[in-house]
Amino acid sequence: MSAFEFLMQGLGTAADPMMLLYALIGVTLGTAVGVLPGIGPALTVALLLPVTYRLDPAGSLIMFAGIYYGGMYGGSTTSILLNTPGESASIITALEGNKMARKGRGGPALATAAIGSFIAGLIATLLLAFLAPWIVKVALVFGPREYFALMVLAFVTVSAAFGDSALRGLTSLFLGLALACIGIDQLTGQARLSFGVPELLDGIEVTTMAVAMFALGEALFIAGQRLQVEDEVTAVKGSIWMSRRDWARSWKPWLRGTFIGFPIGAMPAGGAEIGTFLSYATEKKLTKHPEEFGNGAIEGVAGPEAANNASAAGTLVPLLTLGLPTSATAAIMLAGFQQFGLQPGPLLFATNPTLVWGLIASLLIANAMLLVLNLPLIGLWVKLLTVPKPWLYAGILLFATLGTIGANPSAFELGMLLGFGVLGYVMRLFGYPIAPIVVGLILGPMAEQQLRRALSISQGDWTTLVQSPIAAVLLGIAALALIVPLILRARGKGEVLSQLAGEED
Amino acid sequence: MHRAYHSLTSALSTLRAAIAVASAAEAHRRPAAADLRRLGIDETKFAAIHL
Repeated sequence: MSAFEFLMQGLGTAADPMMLLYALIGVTLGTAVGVLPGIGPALTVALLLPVTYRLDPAGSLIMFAGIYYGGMYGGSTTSILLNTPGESASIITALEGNKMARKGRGGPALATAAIGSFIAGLIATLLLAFLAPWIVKVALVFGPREYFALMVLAFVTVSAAFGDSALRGLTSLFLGLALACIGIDQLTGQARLSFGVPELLDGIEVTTMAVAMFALGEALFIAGQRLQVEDEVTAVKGSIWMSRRDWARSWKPWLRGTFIGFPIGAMPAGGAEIGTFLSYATEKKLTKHPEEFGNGAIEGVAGPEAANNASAAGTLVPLLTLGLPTSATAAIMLAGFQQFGLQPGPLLFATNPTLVWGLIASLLIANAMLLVLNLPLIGLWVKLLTVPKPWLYAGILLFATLGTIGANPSAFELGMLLGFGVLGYVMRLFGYPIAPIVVGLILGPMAEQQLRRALSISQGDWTTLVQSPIAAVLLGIAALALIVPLILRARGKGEVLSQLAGEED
Repeated sequence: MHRAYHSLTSALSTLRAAIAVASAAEAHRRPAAADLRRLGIDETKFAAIHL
């Protein structure tokens, strides 16, 4: 069957009333968390992981994807009306969007953000649907050494290539890899790093770790910041519709944003924010109205908002086809797949096509739902901001604890949740990235298994890892991903130093 | 050849700046002024956003 036929079949699955309900819950929750500053899709999906343990796998995954898309939509609302980004991918939207709102053009700013998000989500989901089968075809020829090389690439890019310190990223990754070693060795049956504690023989539960790191750690960190933000919502004045001129100035940025955001999202550890900043820089370079930038240029809202939604779909390409998470939310979604005994990757397309294509098709439906939910209900979303912050943080802690206890009723699990929660807080406090530790815990055992399989086949010959052209290329890219950012960072520091010297002169 | 090299290094520098600003913003820190300038973002206007 062709991708189109699979997509049509997936639409049939996604149109099931129960699936529609899951999608609706997902996009509504996603928009809400997008609107609320400090709470992102990663935190919400992590919170829901233990709760969805006994629900339908397809429905739960559709809900998670809905939360991811919804978060990207909702983040723009507070950026535009409050100058406070609901989540990090909407930071740049605040720059032009809030200026537009202050000038009484909040309506067109919200409209270009919502319509741009819809168009980008639509194009990017179709790109995902038509690209995925091609990548799956390539990935099907992968053996243990190619998979190991792919995971090394993921480890390097997630930890060292992005972020401002390769050392901190790698520290976080190796902490995750060490935690992944805890438990019974799958090959020999030996207990590793369990220190005689029987509860550790099963290893560290990924769900507990994800909830602790992303929900507890983040809530503690945000609560501990004591930010005093003056919540002054700029009222939406005049028509919320875009004028003909607004449409003419928005459609090109929407398309450019889509084609910038999609590949950036698919890049390991690219993150949706990077695409938004690149889109803004592109729009500023190409604009015919440079004087408006910084004072409310509609292109500066249209492009980045399209880029962050396209990036969400881009993230799903490596996640679904190769089982590689490229963002924090994707890492938690991978944990979601695993809690249902599913392993994303090329085989999932063959063994469970109904679920994969149902999930992809549901994104198209979720996208349409978001457009309807967002614009007319803007007043309702803004009201969410009146929820007192202490209630919000206390609610997150309570929900995270109850969810974990519900899925694994043991005092030891609760202790681990709190311990890792504090670790997540401390790591944030000292600038250590969180995604690598979770990716290390999730992918570590898989990488180890593939490495040992490859070495068993080659009878212990390590050179086998570079004898396959695909594995050699992937390891080469991993080496470049480690070295090039170091050079770029050094160059960046050099540039800053020379600029400082210039200013002093 | 020189122009192609210049374009490539310029694109890489912009990408590096975008990555640096994104990781700083995600950690609720203020990004470096040079990175913001590279992306065409006004430093004072960016500082007004409640990160």
